[in-house]
Amino acid sequence: MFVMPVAAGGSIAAGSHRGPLLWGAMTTDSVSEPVPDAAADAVPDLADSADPAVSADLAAVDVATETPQERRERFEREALPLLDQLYSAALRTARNAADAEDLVQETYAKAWAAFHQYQPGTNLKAWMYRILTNTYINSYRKRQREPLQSDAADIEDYQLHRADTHSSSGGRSAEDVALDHLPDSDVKRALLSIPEEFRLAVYFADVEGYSYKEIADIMQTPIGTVMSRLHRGRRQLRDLLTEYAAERGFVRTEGR
Amino acid sequence: MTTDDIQPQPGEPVRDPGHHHPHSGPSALDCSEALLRAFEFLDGEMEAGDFAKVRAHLDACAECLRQYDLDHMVKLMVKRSCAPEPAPTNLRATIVSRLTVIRIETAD
Repeated sequence: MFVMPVAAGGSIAAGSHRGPLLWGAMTTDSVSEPVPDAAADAVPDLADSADPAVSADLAAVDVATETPQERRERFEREALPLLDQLYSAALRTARNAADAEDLVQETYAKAWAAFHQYQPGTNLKAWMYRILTNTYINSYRKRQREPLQSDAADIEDYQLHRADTHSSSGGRSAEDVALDHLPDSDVKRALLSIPEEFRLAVYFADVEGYSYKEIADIMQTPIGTVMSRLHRGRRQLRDLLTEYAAERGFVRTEGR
Repeated sequence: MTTDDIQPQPGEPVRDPGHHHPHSGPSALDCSEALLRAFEFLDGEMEAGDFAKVRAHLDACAECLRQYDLDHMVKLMVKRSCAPEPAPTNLRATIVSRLTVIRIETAD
């Protein structure tokens, strides 16, 4: 059973001597949704995908008896090398570089606070991404007062209506424009324009190359929801990129 | 439900009105099914039997193949545009310095 890192908030957030700078979000994030059985059962896959050499080394760690100093060294040795990747993900998730830094700092603070619950030998990067995702979805959205993205009807909507076969806009279709000429800045802009659950799912799939099951574990949703988020997120991305290409005049004049 | 949710209405024109394909049969995919499962195919999340069915459909259906190519291109563009960027050195220093603080606090 994967132990929710935020579960540490129950004891840690109660400590009155800890400043709000580090632990401010712990109390709000401590209330988490029950982990769906499907996601919980899938966690061993995260372990399977870990580097075998590293796993063998980590499996020897006795979390119960290591000293705080040893734990800190283990955290620095294993979690800090992931900083660039987490920062890159945060850059594509948060609205700007300052927010990205805050998000990464908070992620590391929470990860360190819950590190005794991290099971050595399992996929630490996925575990960190899970904390980053929780932190972003729970805390940053509250701050921005954005409406909750309901997933309740996602799967039915996606599977029953088969929106794919229908054009989502009356404008140009993607076939009419040259998407591949768009600069990276347009792709980043489009990514920031879609709902964050969609954006994160697309990032994990396309940039990190995670499987649906791994994304389901990170985002703590059923696989069907991951598929729905990917499907709808990419459709929205494609429509946005099509708009941008049309605006830039990247119109195909051949092959139609 | 998002505001940009795609809600097809009865009678709404399909994306490709002239989208016909010659093959049929109980095991063959229709275009709607092929497009629904495009991302499972492109993400390598399809089992061999289904993968072969989609491949067969794409071999026979130029319009679906064109849609798949576009979806694949968007996937590649996302990866290209999100190239890793090094974290600022002060961010690393801040994180490390806070570990020290936390260690002292949690050790007492």
